[in-house]
Amino acid sequence: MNDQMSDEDFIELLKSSLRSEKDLQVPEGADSLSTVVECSPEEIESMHAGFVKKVFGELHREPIRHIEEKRPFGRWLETARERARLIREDIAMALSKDASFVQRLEEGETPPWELSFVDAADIVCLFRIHIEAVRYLVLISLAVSDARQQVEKIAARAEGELQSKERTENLKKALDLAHAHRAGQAKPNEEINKWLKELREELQRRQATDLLE
Amino acid sequence: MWKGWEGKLADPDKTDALSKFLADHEASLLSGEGAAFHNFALLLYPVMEGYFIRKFKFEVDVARSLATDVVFKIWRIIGDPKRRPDSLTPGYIYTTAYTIGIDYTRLKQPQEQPIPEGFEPASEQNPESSLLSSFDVNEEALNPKQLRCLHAFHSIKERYQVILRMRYGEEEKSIEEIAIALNLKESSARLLLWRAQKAAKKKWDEDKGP
Repeated sequence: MNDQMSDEDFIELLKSSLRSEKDLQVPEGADSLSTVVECSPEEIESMHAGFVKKVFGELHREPIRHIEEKRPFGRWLETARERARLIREDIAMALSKDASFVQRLEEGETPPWELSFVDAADIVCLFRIHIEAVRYLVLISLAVSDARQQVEKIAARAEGELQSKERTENLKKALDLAHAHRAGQAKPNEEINKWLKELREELQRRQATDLLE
Repeated sequence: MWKGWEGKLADPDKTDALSKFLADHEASLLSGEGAAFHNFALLLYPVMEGYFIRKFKFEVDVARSLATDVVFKIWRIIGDPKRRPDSLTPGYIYTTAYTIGIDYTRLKQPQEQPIPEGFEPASEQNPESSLLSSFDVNEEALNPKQLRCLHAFHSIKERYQVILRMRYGEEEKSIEEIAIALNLKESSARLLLWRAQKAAKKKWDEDKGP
């Protein structure tokens, strides 16, 4: 290997390399791109879960500690997912759940304190939310949940008026955000405190110290 | 689009599901549409797993982990507006996979492949040449220098890769054309190209080892 290569020689080498690169990528045999290994759906989902974890690891290198927006827990997850250019199925695979689980969570139909602490810890670890930020979001969810009944009535009326599903979802989202903005955080009740305590213990068991300190 | 691949994509007998998906959904993918990327990723995993097993002889677990890395890198590329013009060709995906495979091998080799007894390196032996020759690559098309050059190229910033590929790749764009494509002034394009060349050369020099 020549140790002394001039810039001009390097450019020539780069040219020839870039123009030959396509030959490198073509696996031997014209149809070898079809040499796809057999993977079960579970194996593919497992790989995809790894990818989703990498995405949030990249986006949230430091745990989310402070949240400026007033959003309920689920809506915050939805926004974080959309910022990551992921769909509900992606999150579902990472959590070993189905997409409807994620949808109910995002839309607040499943409030966070109704999640098992194991599921909650999975979510918190995936999105890398610090326990203090979790508490903040959960208390906003609690404040919004009081207004949920009214929201659902409006949504039901909208469905009755043959509104599109998308429009109904948008309406619910807008109302959630409006309620969150107006109501702010609720005072924690016994149920919330117990749930947060269990979540904290689960995170400790998982040694997710960066989400606790 | 790689010219070499246009022919393949046009030939239905040689078009696999991944190539077809790219041909059909490139715009959706590049626009950052989540559903398109989701479907693309699910198609890509088994292709990449097979690639790493066949090309690098990696164990299944390693191949799967690296397949995830490929998908992740492509996700990042799609999210980078500066990278959009020439991303997401099958050729690019395989180059990305190849680079990831080489990096993994380089990282693992000292631990996994102890130096045999009696082994004495030749004084001018290139530490990477033996590594590269152990791979199942098309050596008639690419010599070790070119392989190392490509490795240096893929180690620099993606913005630099874009401009080098535009200038010195098959398209061989002029500075004026590059400036238009990247929405830069000609002087800025020239400066960027100069920096990219320096970065690639520096990486090449560093990779030579002691």
